[in-house]
Amino acid sequence: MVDTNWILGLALMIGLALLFTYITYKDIITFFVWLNIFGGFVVWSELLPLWIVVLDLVVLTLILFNTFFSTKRL
Amino acid sequence: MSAGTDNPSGWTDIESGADRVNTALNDSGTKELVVQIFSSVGADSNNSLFKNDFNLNSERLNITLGLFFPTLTGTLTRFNFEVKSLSNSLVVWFEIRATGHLRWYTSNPPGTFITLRTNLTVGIYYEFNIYIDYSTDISVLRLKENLVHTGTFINKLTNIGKTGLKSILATATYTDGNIISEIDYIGIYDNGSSIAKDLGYVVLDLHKDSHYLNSIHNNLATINMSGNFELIYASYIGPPFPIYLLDSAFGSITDGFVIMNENSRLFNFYDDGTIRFDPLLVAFLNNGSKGFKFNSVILEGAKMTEGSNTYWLEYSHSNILTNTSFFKVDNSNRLTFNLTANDSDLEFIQANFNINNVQTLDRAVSFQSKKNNLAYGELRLLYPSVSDIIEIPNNIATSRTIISQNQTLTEFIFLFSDNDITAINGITSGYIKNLRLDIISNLSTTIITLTLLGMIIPLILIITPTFIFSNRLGKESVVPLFLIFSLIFTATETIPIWLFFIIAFSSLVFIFTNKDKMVK
Repeated sequence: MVDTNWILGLALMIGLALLFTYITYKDIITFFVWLNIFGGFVVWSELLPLWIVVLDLVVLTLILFNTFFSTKRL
Repeated sequence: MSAGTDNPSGWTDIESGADRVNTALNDSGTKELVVQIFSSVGADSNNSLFKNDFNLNSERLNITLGLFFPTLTGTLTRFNFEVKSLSNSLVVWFEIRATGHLRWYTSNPPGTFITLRTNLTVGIYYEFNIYIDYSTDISVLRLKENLVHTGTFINKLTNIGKTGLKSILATATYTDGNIISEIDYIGIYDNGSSIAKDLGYVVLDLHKDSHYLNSIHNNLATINMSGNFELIYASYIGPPFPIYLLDSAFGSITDGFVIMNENSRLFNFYDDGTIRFDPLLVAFLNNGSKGFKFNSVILEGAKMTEGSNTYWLEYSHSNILTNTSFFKVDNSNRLTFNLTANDSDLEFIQANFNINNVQTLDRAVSFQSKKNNLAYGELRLLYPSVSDIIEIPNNIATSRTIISQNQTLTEFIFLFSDNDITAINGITSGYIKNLRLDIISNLSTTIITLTLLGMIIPLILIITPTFIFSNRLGKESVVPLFLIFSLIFTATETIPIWLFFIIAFSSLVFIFTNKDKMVK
């Protein structure tokens, strides 16, 4: 029913994710994990559409695969 | 207008501000505008103008007609003005053809026309004074252009004046284009005094295109969903006059009627319960009515346009389309319904109102309603791709609901069903009134503010204890604590369960990817 608000939604999602990445562990995986969590909140409040979280999950999964199966870590 | 010195036969000219009928037409397609002063057809069959019926003081009758074309961009097929005798023969007949020629019919010799004027011009007031002499059987047409006398034409009549007249009728037929014309100053005068009392009426077809006036007369006529009219007019002076709402089958004048409230300019609509298709609004002129104009008919919040603003009724079964199953507007301006369905099938009654171009941004719909517990009722608002459904509560209630934003509203539907209940004679009834599309300023902003609050409050509830505990337990405890509090708020239904799964999944990713850092 409510229209999405991209500017507010993305600002909240990315801003909170950066803040919590800074507080916890400063790496790219952590950033995407926090992005996923706050993306969930923003989507729940209907500020952004659902596919934002799905996209974030896909990106997170790709990074995780890359990390787990990279020769450097093995 | 004032008494003139150019009167050929000693007639007293009409006084300034005499009885008049103002009307105007702005239509596309072939349209007809009828101004009928009196007629021997239909309900007025006994209303012929006999010489002695209206206290004619002399043997002479003066009929006056004013014509004005503010614009003439389309095609005026024909304008007719005719006066018929009791024997149905034409006493006076003149016509304006598409070519702009003004022709005057003469009965002697019969069937011949004299062209009086060519190229009638936009923006000029034409005034026709027709004098009928009962004693000498002579009619005189006098033409004024912008109040200047430009011609006198005399026609010998054939024994029509001795008995009386049958009808006086002005009709205008247009095809295509965008024409605004006014028929003005119609009056019947006997020795300078108007005798047009309770005689004239003007018809407005509610289903035709908007009836505009030119910008000088900024009037409006509105009709809202609950069925009451609001007419705003420019030039009305005088006591209240009746306005009737009739079916397109023009004939009965005893149907619902409207009595004007002089102060508020609101017309209270009283209805006899007849369901009207293709309604006509008819205003009768009483003694003292100086004139009025109709303008566009507006559905509240939506302007009615030809061919697109319609309403229709649907029933689940032809058997229930009876006198006991109906929608009607009652005398309290309520859209009432009654559904009688004694069988065990699920029956419904539905009224669809087709409207156009109502943007829903910042709008809420509100209405008052009543229905008994047996019925199911809903108001459905249709947009091009989606719809809002608002369930109508039981008993007396006032509902106000924010509707889908950034949509174009195309249709209202009232749907009532018997809920498949056969008890208590299967009769369900109720009403809806005061349906409005309210504009709530800054509604969109309010909605975003509310959703933002809805998000931030649980977020603070989760984060605050997490960080309070993590101050004691160390930085590594942030993610597990976040997970625990998410679980708590999911259990208390503060956040939805799918959000908890995202948090849980993410927290697990944290724990696995940062395992080495956490054990340090």
